[in-house]
Amino acid sequence: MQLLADVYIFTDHMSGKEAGLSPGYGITLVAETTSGRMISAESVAAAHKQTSETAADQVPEDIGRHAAQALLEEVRRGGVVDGAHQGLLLLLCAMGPEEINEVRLGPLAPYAVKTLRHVREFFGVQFSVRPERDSQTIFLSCIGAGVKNMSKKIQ
Amino acid sequence: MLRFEGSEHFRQRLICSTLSGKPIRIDSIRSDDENPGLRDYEASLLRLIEKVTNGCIIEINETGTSLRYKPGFITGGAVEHDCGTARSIGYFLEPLITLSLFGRRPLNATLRGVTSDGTDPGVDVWRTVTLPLLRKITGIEDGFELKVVARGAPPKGGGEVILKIPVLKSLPPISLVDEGMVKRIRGVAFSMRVSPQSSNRMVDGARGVLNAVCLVYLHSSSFPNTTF
Repeated sequence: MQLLADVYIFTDHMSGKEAGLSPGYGITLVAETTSGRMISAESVAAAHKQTSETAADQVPEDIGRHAAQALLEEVRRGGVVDGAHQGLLLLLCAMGPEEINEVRLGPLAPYAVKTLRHVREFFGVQFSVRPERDSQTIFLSCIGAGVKNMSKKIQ
Repeated sequence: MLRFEGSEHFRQRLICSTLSGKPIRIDSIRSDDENPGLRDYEASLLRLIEKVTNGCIIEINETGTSLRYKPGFITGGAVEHDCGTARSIGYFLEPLITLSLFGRRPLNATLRGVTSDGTDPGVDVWRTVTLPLLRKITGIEDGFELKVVARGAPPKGGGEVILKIPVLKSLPPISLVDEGMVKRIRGVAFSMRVSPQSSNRMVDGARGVLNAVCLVYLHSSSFPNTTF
């Protein structure tokens, strides 16, 4: 596992017009896997929302720590995408061709659960959802609705 | 016509309606709230959808608590939009990207507002994770691009991104079932209008956690083939 020592975080300090109108900072982390998947987590300082409770959170080191912990948690949960991307991925599966579309995810975020409902209501697509005990992940598959681009110019 | 209640999942209902061609009606939008009806950012999203489609019909009642949406055709093309500051640009990117894939012309959008606010995925997530995922899924190598022209923090924003999305005829089959194992970690620590040290300090904080993990893995007896 020497591979995990490969950590590089780019620092991007903007100034002038490219820095916008308010002070702020944050960090986005991405774990890349051997199968080409990418899992991300981020933490952003909410200086404008600062209250006495959150003041402790606003030290940059804490923001960095928080993002790293969130990333490790996303990796631990498993799946080919992180929680924030589950909904989009399931929607694309449902709109895919009329054959098997399959993905492996970690525990489903509420947004992903709602996506399963929406694709049934709008596209008539029913996912098969199979939790796998050994890997603690969920295997989802469906027959896509075969959505075609009706707007694209006919070549 | 599909009927829904409440303000939740507003974006996905609009996307699904547009992509399936099925009109929708949403009622009881925050009707019990002190401040009932659609929020500014939801209205802003509707305006953005109007810009990238042709022929959609949107009807909103006086109090903004009821909406009827009949989708039109997705046109794509060149678009400029001020996303406001209540939600970050990331809130608008998911519906915009999903719709644009099925448009008439590739999207070339300039979006202004807040680039990262911790609520919706920040621009770096879209650029380094979402767009590569779409390249993989669609099989289209060229055409996906997100350029961060300027960053903008809440509350005032001032950020700007340029988003390009290609069009496709239909999606190829998706099979993504192997997570693999983490081989490396990359990231961006960004800062605006604060001490440049902020970025370095965030990196220190992150490394503190990540290095500890590396050590655990390196020294763990469950990985007998480890070389270091």
